[in-house]
Amino acid sequence: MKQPNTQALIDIRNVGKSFIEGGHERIVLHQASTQIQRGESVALLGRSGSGKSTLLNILSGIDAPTTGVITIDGVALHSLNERDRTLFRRRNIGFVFQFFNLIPTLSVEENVLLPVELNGTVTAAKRDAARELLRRVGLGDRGAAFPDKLSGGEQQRVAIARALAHDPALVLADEPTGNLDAATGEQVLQLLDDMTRQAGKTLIMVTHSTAIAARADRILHLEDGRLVEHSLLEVNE
Amino acid sequence: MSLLRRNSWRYLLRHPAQMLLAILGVALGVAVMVSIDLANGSALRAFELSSETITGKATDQIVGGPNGLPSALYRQIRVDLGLRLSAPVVEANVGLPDRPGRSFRLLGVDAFAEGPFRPYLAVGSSAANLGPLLTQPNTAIISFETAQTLAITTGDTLEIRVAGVRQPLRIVGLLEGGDELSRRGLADVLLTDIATAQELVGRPDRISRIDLILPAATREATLAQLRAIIPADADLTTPGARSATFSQMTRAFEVNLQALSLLALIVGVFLIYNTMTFSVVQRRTLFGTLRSLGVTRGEVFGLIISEAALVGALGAILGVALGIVLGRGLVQLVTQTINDLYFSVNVQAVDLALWPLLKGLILGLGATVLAACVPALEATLAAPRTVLRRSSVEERMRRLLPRTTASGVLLLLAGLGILQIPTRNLIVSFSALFAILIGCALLTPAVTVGLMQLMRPVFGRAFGLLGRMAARDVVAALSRTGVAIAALMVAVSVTVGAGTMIGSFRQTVVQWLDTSLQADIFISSPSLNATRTDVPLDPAVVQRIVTTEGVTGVTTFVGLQVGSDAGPTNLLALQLANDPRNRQALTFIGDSDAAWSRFISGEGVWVSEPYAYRTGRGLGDTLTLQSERGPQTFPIVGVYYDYASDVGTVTINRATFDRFWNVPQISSMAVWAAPDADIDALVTRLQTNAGGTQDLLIQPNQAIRQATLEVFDRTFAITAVLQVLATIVAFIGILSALMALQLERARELGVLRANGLTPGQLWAMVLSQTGLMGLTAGLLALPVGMILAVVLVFVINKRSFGWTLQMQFDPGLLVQALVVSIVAALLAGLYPAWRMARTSPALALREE
Repeated sequence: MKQPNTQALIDIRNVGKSFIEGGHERIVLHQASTQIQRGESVALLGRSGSGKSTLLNILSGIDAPTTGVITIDGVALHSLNERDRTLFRRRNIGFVFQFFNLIPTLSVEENVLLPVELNGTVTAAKRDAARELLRRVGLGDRGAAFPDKLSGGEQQRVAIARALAHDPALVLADEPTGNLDAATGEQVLQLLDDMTRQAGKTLIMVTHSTAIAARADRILHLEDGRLVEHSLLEVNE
Repeated sequence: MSLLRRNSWRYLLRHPAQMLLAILGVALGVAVMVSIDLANGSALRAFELSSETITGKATDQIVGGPNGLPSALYRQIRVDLGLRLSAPVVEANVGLPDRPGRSFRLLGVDAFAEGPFRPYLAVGSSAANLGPLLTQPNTAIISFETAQTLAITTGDTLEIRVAGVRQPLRIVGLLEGGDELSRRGLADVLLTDIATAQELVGRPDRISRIDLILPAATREATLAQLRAIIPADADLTTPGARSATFSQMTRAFEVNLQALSLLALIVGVFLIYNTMTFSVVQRRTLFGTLRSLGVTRGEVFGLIISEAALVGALGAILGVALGIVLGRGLVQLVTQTINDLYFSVNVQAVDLALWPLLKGLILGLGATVLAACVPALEATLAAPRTVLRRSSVEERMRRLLPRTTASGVLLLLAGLGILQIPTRNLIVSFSALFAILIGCALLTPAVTVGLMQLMRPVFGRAFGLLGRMAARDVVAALSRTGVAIAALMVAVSVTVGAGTMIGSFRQTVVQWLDTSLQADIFISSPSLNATRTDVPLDPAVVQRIVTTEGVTGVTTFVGLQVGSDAGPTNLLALQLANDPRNRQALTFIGDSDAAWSRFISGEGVWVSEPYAYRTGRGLGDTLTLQSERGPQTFPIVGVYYDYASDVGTVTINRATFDRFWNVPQISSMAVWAAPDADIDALVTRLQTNAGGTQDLLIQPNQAIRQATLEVFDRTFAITAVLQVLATIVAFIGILSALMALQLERARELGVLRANGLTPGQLWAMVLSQTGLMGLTAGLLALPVGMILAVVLVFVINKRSFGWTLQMQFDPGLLVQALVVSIVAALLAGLYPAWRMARTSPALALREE
């Protein structure tokens, strides 16, 4: 594991998460601790049900840990109430989902602008920036189209543009290629990698593919709820 | 428009059928309510306007008793007391023989005294030229609008019926009200000179009332002077008090109609709840995504509520418009009932008062937003993670099921508890009724779960896997099916409850008619009021009837309205024929023999059950009536069942009556014939002997029975209309729920289709499911409907009108309710089934 860095964007300390199922406690996360730096690209690897999505939800403030503390950019999430966590997420985090989750009733450009508008910061410059993002993901000419007119790959490219539109410090991607064919998935990953790196964003990407994880700066492995850091070599072994 | 709002707006536009059904549900609920309010309001407003127009600026009135006031009194007041601001009026209700149902208020005035009271009638007024009225006999003036309606003009003759006698009146002028209200108030006024009016009503030298304008400073002193000189049976009152008495008469009738109309809105609220819940469930992924992207709970809540507000506003606006149209139809039914049961009123048009329309808008919008709060809270209180989960709403519903059921039981018990409060307040009674109804609605999901557990093996054996699935799906989607079933259950149970109440009431009336109509033939002159015979019979006609061959006995009646210490009272003086069957005509509460003997000896009066209930006077109490010889106190010696009117009647022995009133007339007669007489032949003989002088209704008792039941059925016609409308709203509710349900299951059904389910099997499965929902609603509606019937019969009816009704359950009605419930549900399933069966499985799978 890397040494703790005081400049870290994310500090995960002893985070645990358990659920009560059928009267029994099921531990999903067990004392997870790590730090993630600004601009770092991290892959969160693990089998289905290993707790990857749970950790991602806790990182975004959608879900709360049972134990432990998460600090993002100096803000301890547990100290915020639900509304403030939502506002924090709105300003600082971009999301890319496995099932795209574009808003079907908004056009492509409106989808990209949505986080900007939620933050109440829509300006002509932001609109131009959104169009530029769309152009960069190769959909500059599809701004007026609605999501149901796009292919899966195109929808995910819009989702990437949306995740970056409000200039968040952190982008969370939950198996962003899980619903795409290999070739399209590769293109989307390349795009996500390029755009977050170019923008200097921190990217945490959940995947169960070692090939995809290989693109990241660091690989965190979730095994039976425990967070373990591996090198790529170890993972491949 | 913000992106969130735009997204919301586009969602609504993309689901037009869903949105339209919701709007229609609100609209119908609001329309029923608005229409009833407008119809009630229009009838009363028409009466008030007419009264105000006729009363003018009078501050006080001296109203005569049964014989009116002597003209000399007016001279005494004007000359001796020096009250120059006084005007004599002769007033009577008259009909048009050629236009049954059309009535006028005959107003005979002294044009020279009118100026300060009714400026439009003043001599020299530009509105009317009263000159010809003073100089030409048998002339009248009507309003310009009424002349147009009747297609007559100046110079034409209008035939009217006064006291059963046809009289021609020549129209010598048209009156134009200065403003819209005056015009409407004048619509049913037939204006004559006071002398003409006295001649028409057959009372020369008598006037109905004297209008007064008394200055506030000297009013009390003047009233004291007046009290000293007015006849004993005259009433010194104010126009407002008279008007309020009439409004009070119809109060219970109005409240009952309003409660029924509110029911349609309640069913509409179920529909809105269902629609909004579905719209939330359908967009759970969307809301989950929005929450993940940083949309706050408040923003999601606001979004859903604003959608509901839009649906509610559109529905309410459409409902108000529909209500105005519906009101135009219902006002005739309401007016008919008021004319039948209470007093003569002539409604030409719906009075578009602002408040009923505003109330419709506020309640429509408010109820919709309120109904949407529950699903909006569900969407916002769940964590983004669970909103994303497909089954979260159902899980929540199942988790809440015990609490919902407990709330239902509590509400039901609360309703039953409220009913125990000894009050006559109808609002309290109806609140209890609604609490019971909503309590039962809350029990619906739990009953549905139980019933489906029973039905699953039955359907499984009958239809295999698909049958089991149908029963299971009803429970699996309980958040939506439960509400749809509850809405249908409420509508059907109201049909059962109201139907049973009306059936019990009708049966009670039939039994009452069978016992009370003991005489063979009944004779009266046509009256404007279906339940009162207040037109005097010509004494010569009476004499000819009594002496007709075959008549073995005659019971005579005279009905009039007198003042009493319990308010205005319908008094019926009775001279009994010497026929033993007389005694069977009335059924008394308590000792019948004592009631008869004390009545015949002139010891006291009888009161009808509604009168006893309304005035709080019972057997052994006393009643003081304003007679021509001053106030007379009578003990109440009998209380009898009577269903002719909810205002009630006081019955007095004719001999006793004649001691205190000088009213020699007879207003109706019951004729007795020999047991083996040919009644039809006797009717013909009576028509020949007595006819010619006066219009007469000579009817065998079977015809009276028939006519009474016709009035009964006419009274409840409006109830049937409201029931149908509530059922339509419920039908829309279940259609909306099923459409939502089937569309949501598109993928599941697509998978089944992909695995070989034929379109026919899909039809069968969808219809089995909807049929099960209808069956559940119908089965639940039966006990709930019976509870409602018991409350309506023994509490609401009693508290509204004072009647004791015999409860009677009609098995046919129960079967019919069950069939209506199942058929409505099956019909509602047709469109979703058709739509799903023709959707390609590939598309259904892709659309998910």
